[in-house]
Parts: sequence; C-alpha cells; structure tokens
Amino acid sequence: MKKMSRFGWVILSALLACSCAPDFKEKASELKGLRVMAVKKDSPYVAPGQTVKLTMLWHDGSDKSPRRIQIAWIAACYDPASDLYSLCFTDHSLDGLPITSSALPLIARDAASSVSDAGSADAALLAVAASSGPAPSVAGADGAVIVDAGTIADASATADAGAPDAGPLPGSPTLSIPFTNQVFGSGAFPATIGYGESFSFRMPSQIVSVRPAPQDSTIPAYGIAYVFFALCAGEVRIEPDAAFPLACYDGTQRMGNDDFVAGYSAVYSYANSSIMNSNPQIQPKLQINDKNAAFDCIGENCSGLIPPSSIAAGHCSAANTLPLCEDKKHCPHVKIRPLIDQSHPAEEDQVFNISHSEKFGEQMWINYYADRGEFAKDLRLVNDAVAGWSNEYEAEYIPTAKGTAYLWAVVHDNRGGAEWMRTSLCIK
Amino acid sequence: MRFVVVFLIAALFSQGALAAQPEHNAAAASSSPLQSEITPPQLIQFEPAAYPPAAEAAGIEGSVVLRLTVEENGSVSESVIERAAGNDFDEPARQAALKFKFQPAVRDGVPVRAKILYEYRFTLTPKVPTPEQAAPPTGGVLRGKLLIAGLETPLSGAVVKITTPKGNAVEINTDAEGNWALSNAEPGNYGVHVEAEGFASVDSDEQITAGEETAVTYRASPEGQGVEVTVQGERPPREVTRRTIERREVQRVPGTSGDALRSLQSLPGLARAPGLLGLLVVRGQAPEDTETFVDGNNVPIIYHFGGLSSVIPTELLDRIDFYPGNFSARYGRVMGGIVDVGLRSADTQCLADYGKPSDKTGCYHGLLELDMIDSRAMVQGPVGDSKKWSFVAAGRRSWVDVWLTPVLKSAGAGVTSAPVYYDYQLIADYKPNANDRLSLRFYGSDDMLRLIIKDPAAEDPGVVGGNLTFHTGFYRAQALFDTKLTREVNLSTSVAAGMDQIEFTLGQWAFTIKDHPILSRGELQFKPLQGFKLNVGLDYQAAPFDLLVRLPEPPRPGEASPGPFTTRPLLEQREHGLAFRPGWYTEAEVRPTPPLLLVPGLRIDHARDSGHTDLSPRINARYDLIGGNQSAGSDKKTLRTTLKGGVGLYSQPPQFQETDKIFGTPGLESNRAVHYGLGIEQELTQHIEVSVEGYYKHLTHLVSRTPGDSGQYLYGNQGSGSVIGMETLLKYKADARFFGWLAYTLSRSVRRDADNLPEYLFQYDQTHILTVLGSYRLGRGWEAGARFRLVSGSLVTPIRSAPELPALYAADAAAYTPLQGRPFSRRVPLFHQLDLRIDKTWQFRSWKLAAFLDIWNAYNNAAVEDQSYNFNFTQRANATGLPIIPSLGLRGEI
Repeated sequence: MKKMSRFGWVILSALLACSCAPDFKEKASELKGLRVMAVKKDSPYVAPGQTVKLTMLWHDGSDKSPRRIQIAWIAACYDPASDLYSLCFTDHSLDGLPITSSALPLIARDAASSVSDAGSADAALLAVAASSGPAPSVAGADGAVIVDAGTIADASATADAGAPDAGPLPGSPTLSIPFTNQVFGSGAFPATIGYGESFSFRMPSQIVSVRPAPQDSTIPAYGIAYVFFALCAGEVRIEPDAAFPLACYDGTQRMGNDDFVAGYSAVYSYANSSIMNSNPQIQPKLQINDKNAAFDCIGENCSGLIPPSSIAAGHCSAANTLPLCEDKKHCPHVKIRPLIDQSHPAEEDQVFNISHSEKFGEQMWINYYADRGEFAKDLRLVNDAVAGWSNEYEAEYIPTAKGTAYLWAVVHDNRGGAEWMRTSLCIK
Repeated sequence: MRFVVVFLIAALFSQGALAAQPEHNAAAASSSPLQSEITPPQLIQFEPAAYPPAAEAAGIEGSVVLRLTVEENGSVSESVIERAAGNDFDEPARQAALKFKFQPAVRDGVPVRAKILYEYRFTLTPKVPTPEQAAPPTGGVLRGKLLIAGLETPLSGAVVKITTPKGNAVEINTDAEGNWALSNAEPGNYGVHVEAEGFASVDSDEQITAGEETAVTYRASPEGQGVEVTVQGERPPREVTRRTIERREVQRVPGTSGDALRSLQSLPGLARAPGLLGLLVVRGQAPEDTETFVDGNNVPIIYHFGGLSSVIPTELLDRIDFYPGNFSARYGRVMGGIVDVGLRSADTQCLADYGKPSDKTGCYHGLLELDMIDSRAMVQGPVGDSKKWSFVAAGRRSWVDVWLTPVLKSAGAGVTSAPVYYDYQLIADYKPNANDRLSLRFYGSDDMLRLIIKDPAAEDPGVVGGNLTFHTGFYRAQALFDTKLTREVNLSTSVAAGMDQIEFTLGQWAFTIKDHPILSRGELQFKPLQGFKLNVGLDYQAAPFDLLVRLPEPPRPGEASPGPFTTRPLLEQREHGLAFRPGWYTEAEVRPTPPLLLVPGLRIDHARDSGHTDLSPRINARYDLIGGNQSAGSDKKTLRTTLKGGVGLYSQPPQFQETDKIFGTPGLESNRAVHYGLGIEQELTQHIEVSVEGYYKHLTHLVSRTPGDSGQYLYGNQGSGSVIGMETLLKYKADARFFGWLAYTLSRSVRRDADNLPEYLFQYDQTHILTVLGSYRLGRGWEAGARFRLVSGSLVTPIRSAPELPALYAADAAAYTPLQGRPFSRRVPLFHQLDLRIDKTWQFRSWKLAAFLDIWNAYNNAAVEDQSYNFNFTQRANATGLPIIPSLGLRGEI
C-alpha cells in the first residue's frame, strides 16, 4: 500500500513545492499587446458528425494599433495519442517520441485556384479563403482594426458543412502541412482551415468509434479534435522546422509575442447524446462597487474591433466613471463583476453521473482583463465542483491611467464552456 | 596544621584459586597545594583477602576502591570503602587492607600521615585442568573493554552490571585499562549495563557460547552527550554501507532544528531535496525507491507537512540506520535505499542534584519543547514499582496555524489557512531477564490542510482552485519480541497493525486511500558453528484497502506536457481489496578468518497486485586489513583499515498507477537494479575516520511509458538506466568538545525509456553534493555550530521554441502552456547555503533548560530552486528557495 500512498504523495508534493516565485510586472489581465482572451464554441460538446462554430475574443492592446490582423484556424488533429495536443505537431524525435507526419487532405472548394495563385503550398494554405472570400472588412471610420479577409470568409472555410468527412473533395489538392493527423485506425480525417474571428468545422462521424475504448470502461467513450489558431499582426506562415509550425512575419522579420498569439482549443465529442454542455450564462447586468452599471456587450456582440460608438453612446455613466488614482498602493479597489446566472450557476457533469452515479457541478472561474489600469484580483472562483457557488467572484480593479478603459470579464467552465462581457470605464 | 595528601594507588593483584596475591604496586603522582616535596606511601606488606566463594564459583572478578589512612609508622589505621564492588568483595578487601604495611609518606624528609585511595582487585587465574579433569568446556568467557567515546582511552572504575540468563545479577569493575571479564560463564544471553560516574550508561545484550570467548568493546560518552545511536558496538554491519549518526550530532546539526531524520540529508548518498518537500533521494533514485521503517515495519511517511519535522521525535530514537545501497536481504521491495529507525526504551536512570548521575534507577523524566513550528512533550520512567516495565509517552502538535492564519488574513493573502499536524507515541517495554524483551508501541501521525481557494492559480485555473483537502495520517500498534530460544538460536519478531490514510481532493480531483496494514517480521538467528551464523526471516505485508482515485491521466516524469488539465477527462478507480506482499529471506554471516566477513543472502518477494515473484541474490563482504577483527584480543589500539564491497539484485514492484487497469497497464513486472559497491574505511587518527565508496547501479526492466501499437501510450518494462557515483565521508568523531564531518558525493544518474530511444539525465540527478558541518562546545553551556552545503542545481525543463513563440494559448483553460524542450535537460545554478546554530543550556538543581537559535540560510542566499515564467512565458526568472529564517526554540527537561 505504500506505493499507492507514494502516488498521492508525489502529486501533492508537486503541488506544494515551496519556492518563492518572482513577481513579474506584466500581468495576464493587462492587455498590452495582441492577445487572445477566449475561444467560445457554440456547443462545447459536439456530437460526432455535427458542425461546431468557434468564436475568438481578442484585443490588440499594442501602441501600433490599429493595424492589420490576420486570424487563421486549422482543425487537422484528431484523437492524438493519450490526448496530447503536442503530438499534433511536435517533432518528438527530440523527446524520444515518434514522428508521424501526414499529407493531409485539404477541404476547400477553391483550393486549387489558390495554390496556383499563390505559387507555393505555404502561401496557398493561408490564401485559400482569402482568394474566395469577400473583400477585407474595414471596421470603423478610423479604420481601427482591419481583420483579414478570413473574418468574413467563414462561409468558404466551412464549406465542408455538407462534405464527406473522410477524404478530400474531388478536385481538391492535398497539401503537406506540418500538423500531424494522429487518427487511430486506417483512415485520416480531413483538415479544415479557416480565417477570421469565427471558424466552423465538422466533427468527423467516426471521431469516437475509431478510437480505442477508454481503459475505464465505465466512462463514456469520447473523441477529441484539437483546433489550432494563430492571431498575427502580419502574415501567418508555415515553419515546419519550428517547435510550433506556424509563425508570424512582417516582411522578413519574425514577429514576437506582442504581435503574434498561437494556441489551441480542444473540442470534445461524446457518442452518448445525453452528455451535453452549454456555455455559462451571463445576465445583462454589471455591478461596479455593488451598483448597477452600464456594459457594452455580451458574447459574440463583443467580437471584432471596438466601435468608437460604444464610447460616444454614453456608456460612461456615473457608475462607470472612476476617479484616477495613480498611487496604487493607496488606491481603493473598485469591485466590478457581471451577474452570472445563479439560478443556473453550473451544469451537472453528466460523465460522472453516468459512470459512477456521482453528481458534480462544473468548476467555474472568471478571468478579468483590461487595456488600461491594473487589477488587484483578476482571477476568481465562481463555482467549485464540490463546494458549490462562490459569490466572491468580483474583480478588484485599480484605475491607474486616465482615459477610457475597456474591461472584459470571461467566465469559463472546466468542460470547455465560455462566455464574456465587455464594459467601458471612464477614468478621470 | 593537619596535612592530608590524597594519593591514588593503582595496584594490580592476581589471585590463584583460593588466595589473592600481589602482582605489583604502583604509586600515582602526588599533588599538593603547597610547594613541598612529597613521597607517597609505598606498600611493603600485602595481605591477601579471601576470595568470596560465590563470586569465584560464578567466575566473577571485581575491584574495591578503599580510602586508607596510613599513619606515620606505615600502619593502616582506617579503611573505608570508597566504591563498592558488591558480590561479597567489599568487606574482605577492607579487612585485608587494615593489615597492610606501608613505607609512610614523607614530606620534606619527615614521615607524615596520609590518606590514599587504594584499589583492591580480585581477579581469577584459570585453573589448569589435569588430564582426567579435561572435559568439554561448559562455560564461556565474556571479556570486555570500556573506552571513552571519541577519545578512545580506557575508562577505569566503571561498574559493569551483568544479568545472567537465570536472572542473577553480578557486578564487575573495569580495571585501569578499562578491561573487565566474566569467566566460566554459563552459555546464554547476558544483559550488560555499564555505569561510570560522569558518563552516560551503556546497555547491551551479549551472547556467551560454551568454550568461546566473546570480546566486546563499549564506548561511553561523557554525560550529556548521549550514547551512540548505534548500540551494537563493534559488530560489523551485514551491509556494505551503514551510516549512523550519534544522538548528540542529530540534535545539533544546524539547519534541522534538532530533527534527527532531517539531519540525514547531511550524509553522503542523500541528495538535497528541492524546496521543503523533505523527500529522500538516495543515490540517484526517485523518492519512491526508498523505504522507511520503524523497527523493521514500514511507515507511509516520515516527514510532516513540508518536511519541516519528522513524524518520530528525535528524543524517541534509539538509532537511525541508513543504507544507501547494497542493503541486506532483510530488506526488499525497493531498489533505492533504506531508512530504519529504532525506538528507544524508557530512561529510568535517576539523577542527583544538578544533573549528576545517580546509582539509583526508577525515576521519571519529562521534556517540554517549543519552537516556531510546533511544541512537544514527553514523559518516561518505570511503570509503578516495577523494574521490568517502563514506559515512554510523547506527543507533538504544530501551532503554525495559531500565528500564521491571522498573518495571512491581515496580508490579504488568497490562502488564509495553515496546515495542522500532530503525532503521538506510547511505548511500554518489558524486560523480564537478559534473554527476553517485549516492547509494545502505539504511535501515529496526522497532517491536515483544508481550505477553499477563491483565487485560482493562473497556470490552470479550472483545476487549482476551489476546495482543497490534504490529509495524511497513520497509526501503528506494534509489538516487538526478542528472545533466545537456545544457546545458539535467537528469535526476533515484530508485528504491527494500524491504519494509513491519504486524502487529497481538489475540485473533482480526488485521491483517497485508507488501508489497514498488518506487517510482520520474524528473524531466526542460528549459529551452528564457530564463525558461521545463519539468519532466516520472513517479511509480510498485508493490507485491506479502500481506494478512490479520480484524476486525469497523469504524465510520467519526463513525458511531454499535456498542457493545462482543466478540460481533460477524469479517470476514476474505486477499489476495495487486499494488498499482499510476502517476502522470505535467508542470509549467512560467514567468517572464514577473523578479519573477513562474508554475507551471502537470498530474498524472495511476491507481489499479489502485480502477480510476480522476484528472486534477489546478494552478497556483501568486509575485510579488516588492519585493526578491527584483525587484531581481536589485542589491547593495543590500532587504526582500522577495512575493505568492503558487495553486489546484489534488488527488485521493486511497479507502482500502483502503473499496473492499475484504469490508470496503467496490468501485467507489469518489477523494476530491477543490480547494485555494485566497493569501498574502504580508514581510521586516520583516534578521532578521524575517512571512508570512500564507489557504486554502480545497473537498472533494467524499468517501467516506462511509450506509444503502443494502438497509438495509446502504455506502460511497459522496457526502460533502463544506470547510476554511478562516489561518496566520501571524512568524519571527526564526537568527543567532549567537537564533532563534524565533510561529506562529498559525485554521481550521475541516467535513464532510457526504451532501447531505441535516447538516454537522458534523470530528474533527480545531482552531480556534486558537498556538506561540511561542525559543532563546538564553547563551555558554560554554550555550543555553536555551522553547516555549509554546496550542491549542483536541480534539473528543470527548458523552453525549446524560439523566443517569438515560447508558449501556446490553451484557450479552454485561459492559460498559456509552454513549448517545452527535453524534460529536465537544464540545470539551475549551484545551490549553496550556510546554516548556523547556537545552543545554550542552563542546569538547575532539578531541571535543565536549553534554548537554541537555528538560522537557516544565514547569508540569505537566493538559492535557485526552479525557473519561473510570466503568464505567457516570454520572461523567465529564477524561483528561489527560502530566505533567511531564524528558528528559536526552548526546551526544558526534568
């Protein structure tokens, strides 16, 4: 039994290792550069064969904003071994793990013309939707943010909606891209590529069935698709030899972390249709220091650039106006929070109810972000899976810079659900 | 003016069967407060005393110290017993001395009256048997030597109390050379208790065999220093390497707050555990490869929360045996090291005023200690009027929560709860005679931390937030029984039953296990021939258990990062069953020549959970090139040189999660290690000893995880590895003033997950480990010590990718996950730290008060423990260990 005990001990030790971590000046909640805050799926759990839409919440807090931003998505990795996202692209020969690179069938109706237009496979990859989509949109008279054509090329990028999910469409090219399709069984699923703030792809019908059953036979079988994205203030290019195969370039110069964000979102699919998940619900209410205040938007309404009209529309009400406080050590903390639907605070995690007749809620938390000012508390627990609801989920904000500050609150659950709200604050 | 001169005359006498005869007289140097020339009295006529018949029949020798008044005419006017020998020696000696004739003491040429101390010794000269009397010997000889620990000089005048197999008590005094002997003694097991004024008593059990002479050497430490933790004296270990620490040392090692088990980490072979984890990393092996025992029965944990203190207080330890490798067949199921601590019997010795030792026994003692972390108390003494029963009761509770919780709240910290721990021990010993000993114990420990984290960790907010429970606890009811079945057969048994519990919850995550282990050990020691001893033993572990594990699939050390765990599906295992791991072993101690000891052994282990049986042959050897058994029987002290070596196979069953049908891969075999060890021990002076040992471990059948045919990662026995190293210990043995040592370990530990995969440095590899420590008694109750450590930095996993993209954003967890390079392939800077300790003791009439200040990290070095990154891994900084921490403690003893 000692060995069993050791197992737990080692886990605990890892969590409780005592060391004094340095305090970095820049916090995750302060949006100083190009940043992704969240990716929301219209349905966090997707049934096999169904299409899911992903929407990105992002912001460019760079001094160089507004500027042209390119957003690219790729769904090309299904059921990697042991659900390890890194096996989708990593050259694991370095880590002693096997390399498997595949030629992925690319599904895009106009891919052929794109390839010929661009003249190279790499360029073609990113030009696919652009060549067929509408013209780039310019939002706002000040041209605040220019989102690449992919934003509105969603329709073309999701052209697989009615397409078979095994094998390319007739006439489509097969492009070698450095994402590994770690599909169990004999067949490979198609890769789907898209551009813009939203992206849709169809979950393969066999995503669950091709995969070995879970070792814990009581747990419902599932499949997983990893969707990778890149947010670039330049041009996204493929770099097969890099640790991650996408890079962001401004001409010949590779752009860094203030101008480029790459990431992933996992989309789970259960064959059991009773296992569902919906995104957290935020009520259309915002409280600042326990007083009702105005907010800008909720959910997808907050996507894209921030229209200047949101400020001009008078959102800087009395409740949204805060006095400047530069000496942050002595500033009062402004408590801000959206009202999360407490009548439906957290869903039940059906997986354990089905497998072990155990009822757990979701673990929910909230991240706060702002492009101006600082936070004393920016990450709070909303609901504990066992202990339940926590009402102390407000942010503690310090208005240290004058001007209009945008503040986002993003609620997550631990099953891939997300929802967000934005408000604007007038700091005088 | 009455002038009194005190002389000490040490006279040696030999005696025949019936009469004592003078052998020679010796006069010691005289001293006087005046500057006069004095000639001490000289014995010119000796009067033999009648040898007490009972003592002669029992083969008992003795000496009586008398205070004689020698008149100016050389006659003895007064004879007073200054130190009795008992056994009817005293009065005959006193009467005989009254008939002595001396040449009187002379001062400035004038005979004067003088008082002297005179030692009258009764010794036996063996009779030479006539041919018709010659018969197989029915008795044996127990011959001993008593030395002052550290100084290695003889201690004369000490009282050696021997309890015979029949329960009779005899007393013998040590002579001027510290020698004593019990002749023609009935074969059997004898209890030996040695007392000397100003020295801590020494207890031991010795075996006498017909026709043989058993030679033992004891070392007594000056009072207050404690006795050696290892009470087996000179008996060579069955293992190649056994590290022991004296009690005085463990209480004074700086940076440990006097905690014995924490001081282990100052020995060679043990790596520095990062942070406050208190892990035992032995010779390049993982912490789970080392097992901890209390008197042979394993315990699940040895340190309290954070490794700040051990679960058994130092005051209760009789010994700590640490075997870093090549350990005996007594131990199995692990391929790293062994830590076996022994609990002590109650101290019933009485003290006179101001802490001076008394001849009396049957007294009670108490202790109360308080420091910044915890407080503890202990009482011990006899049970009622019984001289056979004794008890110890002790307990400890942390009180960090009392002062830390308000501090955290006032600081606005996200976590405002502090851990609480306590432990307890109750020991009852029954010693009806010298052959038998029964010890009953009940001890346990409990650590608890329960809180709600309302500010989740940014690295994985969906997991590290919400309710957190961390609870470990265990208790043992243990019985030890040692008995001598026949003259050649000893039996040692121990049985323990109790409970182990670990409860860990974090949101939905859970790891809870509760089991009720039944642990039994038995060893039969049989000595059929001179120079040959056979040990046969069994070592059973059985435990009904209830287990709940609800966790995501954990990555093994060295595997690619799975990213945040927030959305990863959980696996669950609920199991109710019986874990059963029986083991059997046999081991011989063969001494073909006195200086050579060979210890071949064989161990068989079965693990019901894995379904496999392991066979582990081992052999260890020691050879005394100079000294030790090479010069047994010689009174001359020689500087010992001992060669030692061993080779053996060690097996370790796979861990639970590796072979579990949910979390692992059933059907795994045990990990295997072949230990090779070779070394030399050399005494440089009477105080200084150096030992150098090289070792190599060849690891095979290691459980590792690689992709299977289906693409899923599976556990298998395809891993391999090796550890090579050298350990040096230069030690100044504790004397009345000083102790200290320099320990240096050089090692390299590597692993390979499969034959076709590259070799990599093991997570716990530490190339250089240097420890220098010493403690010096300044006088007036003050003692000061220092420890300096210089250790290779820990291994960390670097970020592999270009600086433009060091991490990916895991959108579902709202956290970045780094693009890591080869696991544990970067070493952080060298660790170095100085710890200081100052002790002050006040001795009052009936009690003693001690205070200590233990200063950890005295020059506040920001030692790098790990590397820390900002939220998106674009900035890196060193995560440092604890800053300077003064720990103040108070301790009162009665």
